[in-house]
Amino acid sequence: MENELSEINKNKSFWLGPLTIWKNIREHHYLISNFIQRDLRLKYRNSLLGYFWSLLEPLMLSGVYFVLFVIIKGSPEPNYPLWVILGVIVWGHFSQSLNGSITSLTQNSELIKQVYFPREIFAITKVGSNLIIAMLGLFVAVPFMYYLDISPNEQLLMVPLGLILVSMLSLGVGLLLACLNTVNRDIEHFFRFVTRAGFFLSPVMWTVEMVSANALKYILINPMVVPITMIRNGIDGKSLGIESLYVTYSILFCTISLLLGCMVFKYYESGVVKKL
Amino acid sequence: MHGFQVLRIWSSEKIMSETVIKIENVSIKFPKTRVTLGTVESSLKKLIKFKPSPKDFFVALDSINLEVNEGEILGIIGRNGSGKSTLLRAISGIYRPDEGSIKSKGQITLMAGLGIGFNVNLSGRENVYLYGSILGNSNEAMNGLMESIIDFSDLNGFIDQPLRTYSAGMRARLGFSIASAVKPDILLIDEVLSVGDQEFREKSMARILEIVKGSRTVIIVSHNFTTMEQMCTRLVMIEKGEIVANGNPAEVIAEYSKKVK
Repeated sequence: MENELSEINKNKSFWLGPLTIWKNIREHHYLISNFIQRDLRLKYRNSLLGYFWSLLEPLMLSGVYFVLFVIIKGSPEPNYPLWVILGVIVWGHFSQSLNGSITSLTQNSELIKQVYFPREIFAITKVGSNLIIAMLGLFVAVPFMYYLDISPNEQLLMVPLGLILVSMLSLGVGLLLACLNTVNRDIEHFFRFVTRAGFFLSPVMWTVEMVSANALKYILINPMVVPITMIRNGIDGKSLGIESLYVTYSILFCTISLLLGCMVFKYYESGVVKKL
Repeated sequence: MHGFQVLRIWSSEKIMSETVIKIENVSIKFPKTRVTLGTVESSLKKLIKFKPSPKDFFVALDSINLEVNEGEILGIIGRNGSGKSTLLRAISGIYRPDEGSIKSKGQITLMAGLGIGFNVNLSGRENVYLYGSILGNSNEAMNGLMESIIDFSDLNGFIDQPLRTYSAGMRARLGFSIASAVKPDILLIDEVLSVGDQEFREKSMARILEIVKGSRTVIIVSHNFTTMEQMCTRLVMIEKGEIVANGNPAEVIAEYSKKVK
């Protein structure tokens, strides 16, 4: 009989982190989907327009940026408003997911101290609900495509790839820093700044085509440039137009940060719970 | 009251063969310091010395050994801060032991701070699904239990209202109803027996006895000795993270009163 007893929340090897998280996602998918539903229901609670806000928000924001652009640079291309909307949606997903996962342990400390379930679920639901909000937001592109006479072609396949890369990057970096943030809250303040500054350093208000070839080399160090351009050009029906070396770099960056984030999170998780 | 005693005799006479929780040599320490500039200094010291000094830690549990058998109602008593809640949290997996191991069998539910996972802006019914899944149950499983949860919590007219309209007692009642309805193999209860009004309290005690009858196991932390003596088949007393008494409820309570005095 004795051998039937098992240890819960057992200490596992550092390298097994991603595998453990994958198992936990499959085992707790009810919890994840309930948490995501809760997040979505609560986001637009008591509002008349409800889910339309996921469309209205980027629409109105891009209106502001459009005016700003006209003031600074004069009349832009006709497709510019569409580019900005897509940029705003993707960046919104990234910054909300990243900041949400970094604070996932500190924000949920009460629950963490009362019930045990794998704590990466908090970050995963944050990224998941923001991904759904972003996907809903992308429908705002449909009337624009109609108006600008853009017909979707095979480049549209880049859109899901871009969204996956953004989600991987935000979850990976978020998990990587969530444990550290419980020890030192400076992390969350610093990264709130990073996501604000990154807004201007990433092609949200501008596109890679507007940048000189010389500057592009440096700009492409930012791993967010490729996914944003993938989504934008995918909907616009244009090819990516970025050298495959940089595309590979960006994909590798997102993958490695996700794997590393999972390992670090699982390794330090049980230790930092005592600091909450 | 008479009913509890009959049940106690019945459950202590049951053959207690199988160990469902085995705690071996478990120690848990908490870091004392929070992050200030001081910890940068101390972490540099740590890097140099490699070994943190023992005064940086608060020892919550100190080499605990305990076995719990199937069907037992084990009570844990002790003063505030003696490590009772830490022990329950360690069993449920919230805290990983720094030393030793905790092994268990079956689904474990910790009832503590009832309604912590609730969201006040969702309806009672939505919260049943949410809290149910936090405790590890699928929506289908919760569908099957919904009627009995609503019935037991006596919230018939309120279940589709948002939780913010509930009183604190109503929330706790809902929390208890959900946590006990899922019928875990091992139920851990931390100071929640005094939930709701007198009527609900009696009902919840009966529910716990019912869980035990299904040859399940319960561990209770409470300061209410009268209840503990009536319900528990065995008591454990903890002091400063160590088990100082273990055995017959009346004797352990007597010991406690001697020590506290």
